[in-house]
Amino acid sequence: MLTRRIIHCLDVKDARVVKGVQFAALRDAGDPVEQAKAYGAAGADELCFLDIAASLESRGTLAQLVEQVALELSIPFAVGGGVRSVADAEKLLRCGADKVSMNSAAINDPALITAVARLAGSQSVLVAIDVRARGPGWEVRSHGGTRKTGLDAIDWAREAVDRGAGEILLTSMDHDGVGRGFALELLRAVCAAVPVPVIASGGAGTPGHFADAFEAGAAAALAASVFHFGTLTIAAVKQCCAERGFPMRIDTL
Amino acid sequence: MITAGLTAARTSVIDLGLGNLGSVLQALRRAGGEPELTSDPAELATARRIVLPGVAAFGLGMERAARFREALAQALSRSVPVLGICLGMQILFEEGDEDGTRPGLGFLPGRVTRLPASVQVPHIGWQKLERTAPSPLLPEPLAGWAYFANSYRCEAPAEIVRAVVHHGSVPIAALVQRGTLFGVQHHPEKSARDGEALLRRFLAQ
Repeated sequence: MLTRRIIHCLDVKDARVVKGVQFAALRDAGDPVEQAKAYGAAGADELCFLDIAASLESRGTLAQLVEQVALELSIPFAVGGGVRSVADAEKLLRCGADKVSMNSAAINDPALITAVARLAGSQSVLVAIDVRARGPGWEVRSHGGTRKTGLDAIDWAREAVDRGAGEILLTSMDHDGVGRGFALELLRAVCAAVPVPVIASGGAGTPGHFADAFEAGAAAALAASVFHFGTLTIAAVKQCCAERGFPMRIDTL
Repeated sequence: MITAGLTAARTSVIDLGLGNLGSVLQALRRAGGEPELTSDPAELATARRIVLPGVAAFGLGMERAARFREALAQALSRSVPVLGICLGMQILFEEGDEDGTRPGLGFLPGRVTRLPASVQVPHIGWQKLERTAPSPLLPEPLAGWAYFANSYRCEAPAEIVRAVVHHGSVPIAALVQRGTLFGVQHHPEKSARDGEALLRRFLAQ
């Protein structure tokens, strides 16, 4: 049986990790390669690098970062932020990313999802969806959550998968940064609507929150701050989820 | 007894211009190998070992791999160890069902089919390999963790299967072997310590 995955997300800007946790052994807390290796050793099943600047200049340095990380990291990783074209995606995949994550660009041009899936296979295509609660449902936001799109989250998740997305990274902006748990109702609805793995994001505060997300159907759960700031360890999260009955990759040593 | 010199002998990694070659090269280096990238079939004539990686669709992979068929056949006839990884494993089989039915390299009996809709597709994540028969790449019964990312599986006859995983109730051939030809459906280059151990054993072949 597949284990449920714990994904650690690192925000990067100009090829430096922003908000990196102060691992004692690290010479340079902002160095993405050092950070990646430390999280790999700490038991992360996967990493996600998110370029928060996502600017034109930033895209060049992002490719270099991906190349360096791929040479050193022995677990899979996704890269997102500013992927606007097939060429952008191809470059990141060629530099060694296992998956590319697309968000606003996929909303603007859904055919981009299909084009990247044709090139690399669906398993390398992650569509990130940021949502806020709206009336009885949820609305998709774009551009880092700043713009309303009018799209219904469930409809958009279905369309993204129909077009070739191999995974959905689902972030509830209402829950993000609050630490009171993932958006379980939203997760249940999206997991029921699409056949591909759904990654829960936004709201992790305790180890039990991750298990709650898995109970709601998530194949993986992603967090940044709780790991950055050392509030939680990946080992403690996995232990809790295993005790709640979910298969986890634990004996990594 | 494998000497350091033998282990370090030339391992040719075939460059199909697809997927994540940097990770495969670096993982082979971490495992003690000295991989060299090649896009010239003639160079396989002197290879001590050959790795065929690839992440893409079956048709595209075959399009790029077809010109290596003869050189691979000759290498196998000289008992050169060959390892296909993920798509590189799938195209070793007779045919594949991605984008219509297409012929594969035909070095292994069986066909490549899409995972059924009864399970979550793509099959993404970590699982423990279940060894079904001993192999030099899996000498211990406890075979370790493996990272998978695939929408297709190889339907291979039991006699060439050495390890499987179960995705729900669907068995997926994870390691196949015939003579010196090996194929792995997962990504040892992305499977942390256990993946590195498997690559190290391949480099000792």
